[in-house]
Amino acid sequence: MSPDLAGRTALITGGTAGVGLATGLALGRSGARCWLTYRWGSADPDDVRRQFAEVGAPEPVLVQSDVGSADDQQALVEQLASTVDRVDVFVSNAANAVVIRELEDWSLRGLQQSVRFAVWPTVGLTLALREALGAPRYVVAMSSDGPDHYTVGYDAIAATKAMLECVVRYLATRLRPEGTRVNAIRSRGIRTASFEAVFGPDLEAWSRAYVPQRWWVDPADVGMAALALCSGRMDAVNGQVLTIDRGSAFGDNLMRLFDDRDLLEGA
Amino acid sequence: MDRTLIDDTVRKYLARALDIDAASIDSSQSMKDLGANSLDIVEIVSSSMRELRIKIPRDELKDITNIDGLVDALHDKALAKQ
Repeated sequence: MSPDLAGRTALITGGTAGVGLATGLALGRSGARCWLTYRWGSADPDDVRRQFAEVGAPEPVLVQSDVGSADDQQALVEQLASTVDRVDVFVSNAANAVVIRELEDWSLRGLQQSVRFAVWPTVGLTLALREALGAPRYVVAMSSDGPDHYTVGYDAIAATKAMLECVVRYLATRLRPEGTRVNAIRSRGIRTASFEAVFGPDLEAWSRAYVPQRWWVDPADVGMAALALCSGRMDAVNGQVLTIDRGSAFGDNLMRLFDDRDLLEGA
Repeated sequence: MDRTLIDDTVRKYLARALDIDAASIDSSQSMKDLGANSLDIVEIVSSSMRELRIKIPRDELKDITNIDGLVDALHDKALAKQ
């Protein structure tokens, strides 16, 4: 039986594509009214609304809002505060960080920018929502397994994900007296537009020789996990990092490649 | 839309991001040549598109090699919109 989120409001940053959209659809299918932010030029509003209608979700509210802009975040919270009594679910999904192709790409300025775009939005928006409307009942931050596994170009992104997961634990502790649950979802290997932007166009095709198709995580897998965390049935889970990887991390090694050799294309 | 307006807009966001003089920017160079990192480039392109009310899909931007190329792409899109 699906959880009933009718009458609840969910804010999902970067909610018009990829993992953000899948999470919005999962929450919307359960009845939540979703507010989806997007960066200028990155969304097809009519297509997003069509997808919500197809799953029987309330029509989403789309707000152009850049996650790195303090002005945009303030305007977003003001718009929410003038429209709803509370944001029940805040999914901090939109993030950006410097891609490191070579050692010389590292800089203090780039790292600071990465923190501003990939860590601060979770803290800043949680605090701003709390001040305007009371703390959300659920905060879910989207992370990845980059801190623990080498990933191409991912140096700074992984650093921000490690920081984000730490921030989540402390936010959970600080907000526990107010009844807020703060958790992170750690996923890996999701083929979205962001995946190609970070890793380039060739990785996905090349990896077919080494990764069985069943191991790729689908954005909907993450959306369903976020829904579960916000459903009321996992309220004892707080300050945790939930890994969504279809079990692939454990077998991401040479032995597994040998084991799966008959399933892999060209191996 | 005048190409000069687009050029001025891109220069403004480049100068703001990299703390350099807009007039001194050599538009035959790439943003990376001027010291921009990947996040700067996303911000400069996105902010320029937003101010100019122009949308270009990410796919159409990936082969651009210098600032002139970006201004041309934005200008072409603006002309197509008219």
